[in-house]
Amino acid sequence: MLQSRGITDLLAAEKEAQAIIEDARKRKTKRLKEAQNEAKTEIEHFKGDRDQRYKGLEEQQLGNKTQMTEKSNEETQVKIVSLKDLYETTKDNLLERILELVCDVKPESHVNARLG
Amino acid sequence: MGLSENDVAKQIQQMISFIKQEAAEKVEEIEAKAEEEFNIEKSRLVSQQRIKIIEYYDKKEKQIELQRKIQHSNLANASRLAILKARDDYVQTLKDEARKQLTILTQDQSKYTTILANLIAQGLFLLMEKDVTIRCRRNDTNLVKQLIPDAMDRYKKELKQKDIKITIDEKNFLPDESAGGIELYAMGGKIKVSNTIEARLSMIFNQILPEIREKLFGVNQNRKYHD
Repeated sequence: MLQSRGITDLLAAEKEAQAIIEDARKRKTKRLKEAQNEAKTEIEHFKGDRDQRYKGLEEQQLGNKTQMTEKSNEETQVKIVSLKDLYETTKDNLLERILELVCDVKPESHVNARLG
Repeated sequence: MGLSENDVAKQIQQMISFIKQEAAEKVEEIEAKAEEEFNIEKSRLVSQQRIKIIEYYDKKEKQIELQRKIQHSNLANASRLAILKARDDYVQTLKDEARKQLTILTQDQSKYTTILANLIAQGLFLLMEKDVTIRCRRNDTNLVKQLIPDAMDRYKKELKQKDIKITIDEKNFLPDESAGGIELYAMGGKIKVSNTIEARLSMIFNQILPEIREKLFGVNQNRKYHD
């Protein structure tokens, strides 16, 4: 009688032990799944940050584009306008020279010319 | 038997405690392992994805940089081209202005007469032909007629007695708007010498273009050779 009660108790204890071990194992599996989820969340957060950073740069670049184009055009215009001044100051001299050269006609017979 | 009831009960209790303790230890072990594996797995996943994301965005950011460089280059090019075009326009303007001034100048009879006489002589020396036709502006016909005898003398003297016949083309003339000068034809129009003021202007203008460009725009800093 005592023996059977003792054995029952032992068996019960054994069963309980198995149960809590099993439970622990289940929790372990659950924890591993959580790893996946948490990793996913963390990564998504990281991606979001990176993406924002990228978008910031992109906008900066776009905004810059119009600015740069304007600036370049302005500078080019300035240079072109200064060309005009240069032209006006030097043209008379040049025209004189050109006209001089055109009107200075030098008729010459060929070095080796021999006829008749 | 050998053991009393108490002893048995005690032993059983001991065994039960033992079982419980073992179980607890096992659970602890499992929990510790779970935590460890959790951390490893999470880190692994995060690193793995992180690397991919970093690569992806680095590439995209490089694209932006590339775009920036391309744009910068395009702007510089466009600017250079615009300036070059403006310069070329001024060179052209200069030539047009020269042409205008020449047209005015050739209205000065005394100057024009000298020039025309020389042009005719020069043309004859170039052709060295027996039978020459001269084409001029309609209004210059009389002037040319007057200058032909002298030109013929000059030619004959220079080349030591050579017969030459010069005719003026009464059917075709140089356009009235042209600046003047003459065209000479020989061999029934197969040989042509274009000694018009415009032709001279073009030739001379092209020959002194380097000088013109230097005076108009300054010395070219990028030029390496000057001979």
